[in-house]
Amino acid sequence: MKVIENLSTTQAQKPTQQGAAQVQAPKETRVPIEEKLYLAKYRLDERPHLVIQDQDVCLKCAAINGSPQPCMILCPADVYKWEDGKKNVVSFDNCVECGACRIICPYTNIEWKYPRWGKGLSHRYG
Amino acid sequence: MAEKYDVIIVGAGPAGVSAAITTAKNGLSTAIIERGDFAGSKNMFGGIVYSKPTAQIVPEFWKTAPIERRVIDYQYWLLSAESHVQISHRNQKFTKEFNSFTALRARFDKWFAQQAEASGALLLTRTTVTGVLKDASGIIKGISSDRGDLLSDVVIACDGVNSLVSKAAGLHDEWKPEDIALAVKETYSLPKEKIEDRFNVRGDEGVTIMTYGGRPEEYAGFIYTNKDTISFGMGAIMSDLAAYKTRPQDILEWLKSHPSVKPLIEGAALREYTAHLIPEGGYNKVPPLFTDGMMVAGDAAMLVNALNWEGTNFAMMSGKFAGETAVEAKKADRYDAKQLSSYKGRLENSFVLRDLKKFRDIPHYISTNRQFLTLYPELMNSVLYRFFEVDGRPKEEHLKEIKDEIFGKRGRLRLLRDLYGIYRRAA
Repeated sequence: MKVIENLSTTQAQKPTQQGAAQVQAPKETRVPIEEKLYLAKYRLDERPHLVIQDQDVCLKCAAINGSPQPCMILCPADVYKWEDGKKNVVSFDNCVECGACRIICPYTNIEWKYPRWGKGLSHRYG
Repeated sequence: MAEKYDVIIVGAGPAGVSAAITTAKNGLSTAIIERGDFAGSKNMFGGIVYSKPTAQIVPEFWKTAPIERRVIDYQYWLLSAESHVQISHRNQKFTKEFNSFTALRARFDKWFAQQAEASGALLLTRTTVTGVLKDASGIIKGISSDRGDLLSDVVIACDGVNSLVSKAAGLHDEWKPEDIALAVKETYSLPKEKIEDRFNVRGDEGVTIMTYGGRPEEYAGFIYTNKDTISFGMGAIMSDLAAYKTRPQDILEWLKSHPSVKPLIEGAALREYTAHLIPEGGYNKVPPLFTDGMMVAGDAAMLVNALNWEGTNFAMMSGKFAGETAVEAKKADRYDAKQLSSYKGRLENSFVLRDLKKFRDIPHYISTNRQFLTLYPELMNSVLYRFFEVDGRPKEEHLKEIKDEIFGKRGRLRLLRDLYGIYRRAA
């Protein structure tokens, strides 16, 4: 019984790209994130609260994990963009302060703080 | 010399405000530090607030709180590509004995924090806490913020899932992506009459819908009816999003275009898009809950029951217990870890840690047994399709096909093992 359980576990954890491809939403239904974010109320802290500590680490990450890198896939506000195949450009003014990038970065390469004085996003509904 | 309070509470969410109401009502000088423009402005949830736990903090809160609709109908939808199987419960008892209300955090938490202020707590907004202050012996004695230092006998960290405060205090390092769900949510406005029609409700009645299945990732979708808005969103386990290279908003768009979901939201105007993390690791992943001079409550302490979609009441009750422990500590005039350990005892004697402990093995079991996420929702849809299909052939043939499909896709032994696996961990 134990052996079967282990087997099925390893099989189950292997993601199938085919499976993922079958369930994509039709292209036309995708609204660019920028068009959604403009609805939000922001007070911008001009000092970046998200900082890439070492761009070389992002290059290595691209080599190992491919691009888009995990931060770019997970960020729900498209804060991270891979520019010219060599630089992780951070649009911190888009940030919705969720914290996903900090946790998903395999190399803890993102210095993550909250904006100062509670600046940044302000919900009207929440 | 920095100002000193009996208690400093970081974060004016449900945990922090519940703690503040408890300490302020018992005569402790209480400061709540909130980084948002107002309490609730940085907060987000599905969501619903449960009546009975909330009434323990503010009795009959529904008479004054900005609640949306009282939920009379709880629905679970198991999705397949173009179908769903629905398990739901609608009960008129919920109209007499309130069980839960839909709410919007930016409105509810603002009101909730006002109740703490009315109890005597001081609310400091637009202030981001940057660290904790320790005395020479390492006991936490206050906080540092971008507006200066504040001293206290005890700090209660209610600063949410990212809890930079408990990290600064050295209570835990960082969450693991497999224990955290990334939730994205859209709020849509829709006229009251349309909500009533689409969800078959009247007056202030409301509906909650949870969706599972239809995708390879471990995700769950949600739809909540508010007065004249709809909360729509989904949460997916972060490590799954990374493994499948799926953007969270892709699942959201897929869900929105699902033929069962689409008519509910169609034509409604998007009012807000935002995201938030949900700590879903359960009992096995709960970090240390107290140290010398500090306690941690709510999301900051991973006190969420993801299985039953309960987080707000866990936050409120843990905040209340932390508040009670602070009151007790003040009487004893001792704030070391040993004194504050009764906080954990309070949690262990209540539903907070008892529920999490009871279901402690389920999050991992589901994550490593993907048939519950994909195969079973798919099978249920397929079986019911065959059950309802009338095509001129004898029912015997349909039944045989149903049996062949179930046992073909999941052998008899494996099916039994799955049933037993869930039963053993849940019952």
